[in-house]
Amino acid sequence: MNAITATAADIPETPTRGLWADAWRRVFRNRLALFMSLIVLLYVLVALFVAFGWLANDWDQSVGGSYEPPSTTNMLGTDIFGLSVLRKTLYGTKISMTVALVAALISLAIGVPLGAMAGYFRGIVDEIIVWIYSTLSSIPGLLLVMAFAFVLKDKSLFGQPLRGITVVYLALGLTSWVGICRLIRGEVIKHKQRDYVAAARAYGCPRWRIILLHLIPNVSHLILIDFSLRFVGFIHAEVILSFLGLGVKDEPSWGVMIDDARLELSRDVWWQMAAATAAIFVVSLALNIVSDALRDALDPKLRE
Amino acid sequence: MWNYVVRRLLYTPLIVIGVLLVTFLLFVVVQGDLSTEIAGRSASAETIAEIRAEYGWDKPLFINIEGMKQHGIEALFDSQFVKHFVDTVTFDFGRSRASKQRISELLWDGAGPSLCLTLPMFVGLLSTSLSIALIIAFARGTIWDTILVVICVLGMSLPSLAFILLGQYFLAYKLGWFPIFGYEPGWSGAKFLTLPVLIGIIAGLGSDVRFYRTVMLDEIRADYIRTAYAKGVSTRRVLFVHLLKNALIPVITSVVLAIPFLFLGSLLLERFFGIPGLGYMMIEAIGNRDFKVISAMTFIISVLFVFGNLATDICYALVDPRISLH
Amino acid sequence: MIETPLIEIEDLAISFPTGDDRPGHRRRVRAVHNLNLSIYKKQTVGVVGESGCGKSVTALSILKLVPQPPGKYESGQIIWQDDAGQNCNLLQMTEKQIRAIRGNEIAMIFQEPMTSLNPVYTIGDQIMEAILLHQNVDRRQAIQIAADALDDVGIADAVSRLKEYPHQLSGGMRQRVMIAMALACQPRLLLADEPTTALDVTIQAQILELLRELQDKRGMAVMLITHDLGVVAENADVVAVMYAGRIVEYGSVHAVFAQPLHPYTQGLFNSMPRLGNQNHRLSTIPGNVPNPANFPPGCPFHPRCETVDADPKCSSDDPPLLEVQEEHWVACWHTPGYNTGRQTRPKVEYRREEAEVI
Repeated sequence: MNAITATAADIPETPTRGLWADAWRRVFRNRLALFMSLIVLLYVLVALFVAFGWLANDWDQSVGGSYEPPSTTNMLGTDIFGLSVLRKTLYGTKISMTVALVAALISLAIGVPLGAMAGYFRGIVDEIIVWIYSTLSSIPGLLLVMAFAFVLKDKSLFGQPLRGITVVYLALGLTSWVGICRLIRGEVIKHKQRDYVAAARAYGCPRWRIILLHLIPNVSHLILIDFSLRFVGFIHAEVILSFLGLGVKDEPSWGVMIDDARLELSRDVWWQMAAATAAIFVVSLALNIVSDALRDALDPKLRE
Repeated sequence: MWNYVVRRLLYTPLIVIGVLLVTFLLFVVVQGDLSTEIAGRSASAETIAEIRAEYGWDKPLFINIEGMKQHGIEALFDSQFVKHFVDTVTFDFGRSRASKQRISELLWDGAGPSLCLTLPMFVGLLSTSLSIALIIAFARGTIWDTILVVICVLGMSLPSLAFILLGQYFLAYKLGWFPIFGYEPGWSGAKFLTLPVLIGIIAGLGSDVRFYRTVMLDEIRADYIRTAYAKGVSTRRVLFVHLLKNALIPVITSVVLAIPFLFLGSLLLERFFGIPGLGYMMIEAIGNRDFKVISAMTFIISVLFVFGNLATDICYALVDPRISLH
Repeated sequence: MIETPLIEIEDLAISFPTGDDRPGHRRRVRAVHNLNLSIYKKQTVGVVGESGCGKSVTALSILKLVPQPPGKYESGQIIWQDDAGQNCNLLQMTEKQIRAIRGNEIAMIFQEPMTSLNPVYTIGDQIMEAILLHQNVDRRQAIQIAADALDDVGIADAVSRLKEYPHQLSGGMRQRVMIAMALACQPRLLLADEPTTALDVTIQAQILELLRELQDKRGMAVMLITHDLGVVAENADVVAVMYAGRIVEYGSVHAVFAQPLHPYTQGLFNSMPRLGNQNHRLSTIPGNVPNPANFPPGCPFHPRCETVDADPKCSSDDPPLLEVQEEHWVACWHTPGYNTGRQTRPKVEYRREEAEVI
């Protein structure tokens, strides 16, 4: 081997690699996380298929008698009206994924700009935003969500009455932006001191452009981690809200199914309960593991 | 340190005003006039007007210019906002629509049963999860650590409703180890509370153990731990003197912030086991569309929470010498 | 009469898992590989190498502070000559026995003074903890000893400083506190793991000067871990150059500085700025320190070696550390005289005279 050519290329494991490339490699190496992401993908696909009407759109058609236990014809049995529990579970997937996704997007749409503004402009803007989120975070989460859902219920927006599912994601989205807002504000304050922001300002870059093109991309990994962590919380919250009668109505959701199952259990009708719980459990488990892997891969604090 | 505490104290009224505004916004502005709904379909115009007057819906939201023109300057503040503000600050929340009882009395009666349920649950959960986390800190990197983390993640993924339903179904209904439903004040009520307390602890264990484990492991890798070992300090002293005081800071947060929730009780547990606490009342109120009860409950719990926050900050200042600097 | 070393590390090997949990990829790598090193009384041994070469692990292993798991002692012994002149193997000691050594006979200071002190206790509490553990004194005497220790490291107004918290001190002051804490029990060996790396240059010089002074006064031995050859030149009697968990060159500071034999040592010297150097560019050693998970076969340095032309032996056989000149050891197939080198334990009794500067 020639001495000159025997350089970095011959040495495996060079530690200089971009954040995202390195993160991707870490997630990929974690077989379990990879498998769990496939499960999440499966849920998303089911949700999309239902949304396009290719799957379970006939959930309101009776397929047999009342409370038929699982059999070869009805894999997960039937409910009191003879509806297929399998179809209801699949349809619930769409409700659950929609709620979690829309609520997460709403909270990001509020939290990210407010956090960036507070951190970038400081002064009175910062004071007001901090006061708003300190207030909101002083009201216990579930209570706040319930209060929102309670008053939004049966209201109309732009002349259209709000549907149960709309109430749920509005209530969740409007109340849960505080965490990401606080996170972004802190990061922006930190990054504002960095040279690249000073440089951008020096060549006359407008402020909105600095925030949008320089600061936000540098905190995007935190947004992704927060997003993935919040997803599970939203799925569980939908279940509780629907169960309390503040959420989804006239459509099967996992929360509604568990509410039905409450009375069925005393008659030993367990399949509706089991189906909804299993559906929630599997997707939560998958999301928990994926978000853990994402955090391990992306959080600079955890990287050596 | 006192500087810091005083500053936090001064911020507290601002937050209470914020909470007041939120309840006003939700339960007065967004909620709007419910008189037709309350009066029922066949009510006369007089009845509706009466209800509107009773709830103050006939008044403007913020300032009453019409009133001022007719009755002079003091009537300017005869508005829904001022009424909401004064009522809330004086804890005069009016009467419940369903039971016609004074809401402040209702809240007072509900706090007892809620505390009976949540206090043992809280103490049990905290001591169990802290001990398990400390054991994991000892056993980190071994197979036991991995097994416990897996169990925690599995537990976190199961919705709390499932814990309650399954616990009630199997332990009370199928096996008959506990009464299914009911409440009695005093020690005789213990038999009714055992199962909900147990379920509450088990349902919360997953996320709590994982949180405290992260806290402990963050600290156990810290440089000062290595310094202590290098001085010849025993493992037990390192854990209980050096690590615990540092780990206490995040633990205090979660403990103090959990205390206001004790009053609210565990909403779902109270509902399923028929414990007449605040959580049970809240769910009843939702069913009855008793918005005044919900508004009052939101305000009271939030104020407790605000003071919990304040207590946390004071505890920080006591535990962490670095606080005094900034 | 042949002097016995204060401490003798023999064939020490420590391994760690690679962290790759895929089935079939799980294996352990050696962070320290068959390491031999001796320190005599009142001697300073400088251990030089890039980060990740196993210097710190070696120092931690002397106090049995390598976390187990994941770390594991694969082989070797560490012979310590105790107060009574008896030899004992530190690695065989029970937890209780080694605790009596830690902080008392052998003390250690670390690279990061900012994080190495416990933030929630006063520095007085932390210094006194060591004193109360190892000395039979009451609290009042302990306060006096702690104050004296702070005085010794040049902190004025020591008694009132005892009540301060670490965050109230600057980095240099904290390192002084760390030294005071380490020396409060009059240890016979001090392990200094990059004690000045995290400090400003001017503070660095002060701290090293302080260490030298205290060493002369107390007559203790020092293992000085650093990546800075300048620090070694000024402070060490004996130099051990480490690469990839092995010692690749060993000898008195004169021998190694006068004639560095290993290509890696030569590379380190060439990358050092010197007054009067006509070359305007500093040379660098190409490539990076290999990740311990992927140490190349053969001589671990061969992928980066520029001095010698390709030789199949370099990439197939790991060269042992041989004494090629009197009291000068090296591990390189291409060193002149390596074929006739003797396989002896590296030991150099040399101690420089006071104020002798190279």
